[in-house]
Amino acid sequence: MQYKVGVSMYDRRQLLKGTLEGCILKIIEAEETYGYEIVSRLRRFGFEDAKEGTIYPILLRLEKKDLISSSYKASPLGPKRKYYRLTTGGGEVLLNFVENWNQVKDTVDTILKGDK
Amino acid sequence: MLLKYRKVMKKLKESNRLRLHEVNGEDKKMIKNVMKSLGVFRINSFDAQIILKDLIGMAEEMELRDSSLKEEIGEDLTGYVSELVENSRGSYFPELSADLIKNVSFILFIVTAVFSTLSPAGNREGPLLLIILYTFALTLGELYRGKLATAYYAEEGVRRRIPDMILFGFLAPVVFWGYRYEHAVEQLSENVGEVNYLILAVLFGGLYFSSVIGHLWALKQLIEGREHLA
Repeated sequence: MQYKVGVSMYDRRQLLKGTLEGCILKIIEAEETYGYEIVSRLRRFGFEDAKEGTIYPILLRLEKKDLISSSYKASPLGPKRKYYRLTTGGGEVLLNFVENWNQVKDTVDTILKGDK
Repeated sequence: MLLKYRKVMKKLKESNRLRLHEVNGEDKKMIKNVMKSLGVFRINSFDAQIILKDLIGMAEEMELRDSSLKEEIGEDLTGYVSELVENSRGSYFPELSADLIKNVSFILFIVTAVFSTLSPAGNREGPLLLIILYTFALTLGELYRGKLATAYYAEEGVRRRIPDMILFGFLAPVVFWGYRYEHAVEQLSENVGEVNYLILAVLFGGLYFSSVIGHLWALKQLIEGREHLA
């Protein structure tokens, strides 16, 4: 029997949806950075599927929530780049994300190990 | 003071248009399709221009890295546009309504001013029903033009004016018919009565002026604090 991908198999994108937002905040926290660099770091950390086009809506959302702010700066490659930096609100949300992530991770680990 | 925001918007639009012209064929087509799908009723004009600027920036950078925007966005354009709309500030009702009133009142001002000038001396009265008909037709035409405008925004030259041409092509016969068969309309509008076109021209002129201010105010709300992004 064949399983249809996306129906019976676990959809990795759904799992990543919320966590990617927190990871992007963490990357931006370290230093002011731009889309392509964020994607490169995500890829280096293991998010091989990350693309600049697909993280752009997430950056829009973070900006709309005032968690990050942006400005255009000249780049060595030529065209101006949009640089993102964390806001005070973004820093607070990041701390909250880390705390929640650790709790969820511990809980899921415990369940998957089968410990009581 | 308010004019500053119109200048910011105009500069942003012009810069986007020039830069888009330089983007390679496939990516340009992709960006145009995204802009067409965004639509004026889904997203406000400033956010749409910022998204356009960012997409052009991405396309330029991707080209320098021997990649393309198409590869970065993927095939699901509808889903991508929905995500953009969902994560933007959406459409802005004061901007949409001020823009609609501005365009409709401007044409009604011209029409009533011309009719009152063409009327025989001393008789500037005309059927009110005709103006109601024009307002209705203009509002529908303008809503349609607004919907089309974003679809053709990224086009160049005469093609960019297609929505205006469609609106003109639709309205010109309606206005001509109304003027030519004014007596027939008068008979139909016995119960509605007549109105002084000169007074209407002054009223529509005032409405146009107010809506221009309203539109500038709406732009200020959208742009203030974000001028550095333009």
